[in-house]
Parts: sequence; C-alpha cells; structure tokens
Amino acid sequence: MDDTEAILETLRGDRDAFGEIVRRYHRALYYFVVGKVSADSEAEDIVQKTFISAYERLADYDRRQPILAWLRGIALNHCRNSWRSYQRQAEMMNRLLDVKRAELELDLLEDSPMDERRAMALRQCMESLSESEQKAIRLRFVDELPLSEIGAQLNRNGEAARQFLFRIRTRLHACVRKRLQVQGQGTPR
Amino acid sequence: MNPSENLRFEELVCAYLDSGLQPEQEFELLQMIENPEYARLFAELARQDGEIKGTLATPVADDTMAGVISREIGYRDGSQSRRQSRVYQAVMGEIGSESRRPTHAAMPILLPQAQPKQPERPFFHWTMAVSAVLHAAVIALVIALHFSGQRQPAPVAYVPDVSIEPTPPSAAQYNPLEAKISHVTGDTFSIQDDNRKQTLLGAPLNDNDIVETLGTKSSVDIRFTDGTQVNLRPDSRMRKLGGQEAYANSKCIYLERGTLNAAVAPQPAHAPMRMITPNAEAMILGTKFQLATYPGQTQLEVTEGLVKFTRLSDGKSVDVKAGFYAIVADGVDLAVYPRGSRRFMKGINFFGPAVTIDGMRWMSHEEAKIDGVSLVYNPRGSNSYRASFTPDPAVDAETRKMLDTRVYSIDDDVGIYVPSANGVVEVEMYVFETFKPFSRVFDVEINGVMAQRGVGKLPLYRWTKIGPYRTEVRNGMLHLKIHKVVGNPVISGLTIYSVDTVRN
Repeated sequence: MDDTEAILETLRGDRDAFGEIVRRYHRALYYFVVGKVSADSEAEDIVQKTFISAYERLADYDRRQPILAWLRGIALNHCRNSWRSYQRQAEMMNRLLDVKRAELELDLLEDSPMDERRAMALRQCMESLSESEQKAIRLRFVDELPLSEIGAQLNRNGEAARQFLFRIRTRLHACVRKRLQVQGQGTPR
Repeated sequence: MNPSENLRFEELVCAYLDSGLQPEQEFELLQMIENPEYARLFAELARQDGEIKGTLATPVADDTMAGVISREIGYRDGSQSRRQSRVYQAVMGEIGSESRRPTHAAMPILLPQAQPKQPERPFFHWTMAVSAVLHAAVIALVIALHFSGQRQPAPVAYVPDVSIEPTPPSAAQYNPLEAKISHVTGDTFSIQDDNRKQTLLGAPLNDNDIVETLGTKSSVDIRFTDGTQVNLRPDSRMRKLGGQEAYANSKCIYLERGTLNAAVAPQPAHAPMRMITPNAEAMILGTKFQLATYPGQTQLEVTEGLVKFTRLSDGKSVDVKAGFYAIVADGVDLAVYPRGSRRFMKGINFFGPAVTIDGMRWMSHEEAKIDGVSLVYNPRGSNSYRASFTPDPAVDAETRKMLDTRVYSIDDDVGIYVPSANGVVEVEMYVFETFKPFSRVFDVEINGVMAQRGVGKLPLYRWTKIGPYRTEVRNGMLHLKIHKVVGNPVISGLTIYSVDTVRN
C-alpha cells in the first residue's frame, strides 16, 4: 500500500498499517538524525520517539506534504529537546564548552537539503582516506577505543594517535567543503 | 584569523572531541569561540564527528523498529496509559512494560577491509612501574566468588577454577623461573618490547612480558618449568617480573587487573613465589589459590596451602589458609572469611516481576518499592524489552525474565538505595546488552567508594554479572551509584549477600 493508504488504514484503527510507514522511512530518518545529536546512541531513541509522535498526531498530518518531510520536522523537535537536555546537564555540571556546543547545535538545527549532500560528500571523502586512516577512524568511532589503545593498534603512542586523528578530521572537513563547492552548493553552513 | 591561530584552534577542538582537553586548554578554547567564525568551525567539527559515527553505523532492522513501534503504540492505546515524567524521580515510578529501543549493530560500511570488531576492552589504565613500589604489600586475592551451597545464575566472570594441578618438573636441568604459554583460549595478546601480538601457544614468557586476555571467553595458561601453573582469566592483564635484583630467584607476577588462578609447586623458603597487584602482595610457598584485582579491590581465595596476604597501604597482613578468602578494599576491614559464608539477603528484578533464580526468590519491582528501595535516574528510556534473540550465555526462563527488564537512565547516572541490615555485604549486578555492542561503559560506586571502573561494555545480546562488590553497611542503607561514562547505564537486577567474618 502507498503512504496515503497506510495512513488512512492506520486512522481506521489498523496499527499494523503504520508499521509500513515505519519500515519505509526508518533508515532515512535515522541517517537524518544521526549527525544531529550529541551521542549516536540517541539517534535510534529519537527515531523511535519520532514515529510515536507521528502516530499520535497522524490525524493532523497534511497529506499534501511528503511524509518524510513531516517526520523530519518532528525529529528535529526531538533533537532540539535532546540538545536542551544536554545543555541543562552541562550547565549543572559546569561543562562550559558543552553548554556552548549545545547552544551552537540548537542554532544549527534545521532541515536543510544540504544535509544529504554533506552526508554524500563525507562518505566520498572517507572512502578516499588511506588504509591506516580508515583504521584509525574505525578504532575511534566504531570501537571507541581510548587514544592510548588506538596508538597501540597503529604502533604509535597516544599523543601521536591524537595528532593523527586531528589531521584526519581536518582533512575530512576540508575535503567536504571542497566537494560541496565543486558541486556548486557553496560553503556549507 | 592567522594560520597558526587556526591550527591551534583546530587542535583544541579535536582534543575536546577526544576528551583530552586540559582545564587551561578548555578556557583557551572558550575564549576562541567567542569569535563567531571559530564558533561556527567548532560546531562544524563537532557535527562532523557525529556524522562520521553515523556514516559508519547501521540502524536496526526496519522490521525490528516496526515491531518496537507497534508494541509501544499498543501499550499507549491500552487501558493503562501512563506517562513517564521527564524530570528526575526520587522514587521508583510506576513503570510497566514499554517498548524498548531496538538493537543496533555498528558496522564499518565504508571499510571493506575492516577486520572483525575488536573484543571489548575494559577501561583500565596501566599504571605499573616495575621497579617502583610493587614490593609494597597487599595482594588480596580473589574473594570467593563461588560459595558452596549458594547457587547463583550461570556465572560469567571470576569463577574460581582450582582444578589445575602443578605438574611435576622433568628430571632434566631446568630454570625454575622460565615459563611459557601452555594454553590459549579466545582473544589474548602478548606484549614484548612494546610489540603487541596475538599470544602464541608454546611461546616463552620472558621477563617483563605482558599477557592480556580480552572478552569473557578468553584465558591463557602459563607453565613454569617447576610445574607451577598460572591461569589468567578473562579480561585480565599480567606481567612477568624479572631481570632485577628485587625479583632474583623468585617467580614474580604482577597482576595489573582481573583474575588469575594458580597452582604453585613447592618453592624454596628463601624464594617464595610473589604475586603483586596495585594494592597487595602475596608470598606463596606452595598452594592453590585464585587472585583477582580491579581498581580499589583485590581478592584472594586459597584452596590449598597458606598465603600471607598483605595490604599495601598500611602493611597489615593476614594469613589465609585453605578454605578461606580475604579481601583488600577501601572501607572494609582486612579479615579472613571462610568460604561458603555468604548468605543471600535479597534480589531485586528492576521493573519486572518476582523471579526465582537458582532457588532464590528475587523481589519484583513493586515489592522492592514497598521494601523501601528507591532509584534516582533519568527515566526517559524504556525499561523492558523482549525480543526473539537468545541471551548469551543461555539462561533459564526465570533469569530471562530478570534480564528483560531494567533500570535504564538516559544520559545520566543511576542511583540505587536499598535498605540493608548493618554489616558486611556483597553486591552483584546484572547487565544485559540489547541495543548496540560495546556501547556503554560505567563506573560502579558503593557507599561512596569507587568499586570498579569501566564495566558494562558488552557484545550484543551478551549479559554478565558484575561484582561481587564488598562493602560494610553502617547506617541501614546500601547506596549504589552507577556512573555513566559512555552510553546509558542499564542494570537488570541486583543481589545482596550478607557475609560472615572471622577474625584471626
């Protein structure tokens, strides 16, 4: 069934029909959210909350609007709540940099067509990294090892590993900017 | 903004993102992001980290998420609609079964040559200085984790295994200090001259070599030429000391973290075997024992022979004989305890029904509330999840009911207050990973003392028991605090045992 049929069936009381909506848009929503939260473990949580909120407000959904755009709007609100909570906790613990980061993230949160292009550019830039750079990325962002362990895996000390990751990050940042400029999208926000 | 300033700024931001910023650097970075251009760049780099992680991660299966949403919707449409407060609760709320976030397996989708995920690594820090104060006392060896007559859920860690026997030496000439790797199971590593590699069966263990076991199914056996055997248990790390006058003529092992079992052949009276941990030392002339150490606590259990057990902080020592155990820990008197001396006091199945595990009845969540148990946590998460996967290791139905529900705190610590009779108790807790492998790390504090750091990091669908943690209750209340380090802390259940002590 298409989106409209799924929504109508859901409004008639068929909860399983809503499952079709979930299956259809879960991944797109996840990748939309994942770079907009303080911890990637929050992303699935926000996606879940988004679908629940959407279900509860389904009667208010304007069917002239693409459903993914509507879901993204709901997800952005949950992301804002997440950052506000993060900001409150950082304030309580006097983590001033985290407070500042939350403020900046709240300002940046928007549903922009740039997001998909940035994600694609980042993917391409990561694929162009060397083998050792990709390994360092994996150790840091997938395995979440401390710097000393990353260094040990790369036959470096912790400080050298930190420098290595610094260079990788700045390279990726410059690479993404360049790709977006080449694509004529201008400087990313 | 000049190039050198830009470079400095980027270095500071990356240090912040890697949690390596010093306080003075934090101030420097705060000053720099007063500049709007730097503020924007700060946000971009921070956002990029999240995007990198997201690019490498994989969400749960669509069907899984659909199932979760369906259950949640069904619950919300039910007759008992409840809403969780989004503020901190000082008492356990009435939380019934709610949908749980689905599992999430991170996958390096852009790294086709990536190796299988590394096994979990505890967040312990290597602080040993071989030539430093290791001769200081205190080795408390593994407290009895097995007590005869007290059956527990299938043990996962620190199970005393004293079945190894010292094998008699050959008649040929041998150096009793020589050792080699005699058995390897699971993920184990040896570090020799700063080179880290997989531990090889039959390889010699030279002076200052390090052996490390990773994951709950790993272990290494080391055999000395005189027949002494050492079994390094899962998630443990040790170094063979030697090459210095302090260790001349004696077998010396430094247990940096974790557990080992040992069967020690008779040693010369002038050269006992020495086992050293960060806070204890044991001198062994010939015995079987188990030793375990983690930050702030070392435990010894002796099954044969006699071990002199000394606390490093003040030099106080006890003699631990067969059938007894001892512990060194902050806030606990150094004393010897007979094995089998702990008694089940209570078990709590957080947010779940009463269960009976190994003959012991655990309270339900509601019963625990009535008993006076209270929680402090951020309750935005779901407290139950039942999925089609099988917990690893496999469990019976009652244990499964305990694992399926949990206290789960979003982005915050968990505080647990349990009324308890005064006296020495041991606490064990159960952690079950149903969301994302190796996604959470937390520290355990008991009655104001940090008992263990860096626990909770598990593969998907793995559960484990953490502890036992020993403490003395003095004011009728046991206070546990689970400090969030990475991810969100989850605890499925806990048990408390009272411990009888003897003084010698």
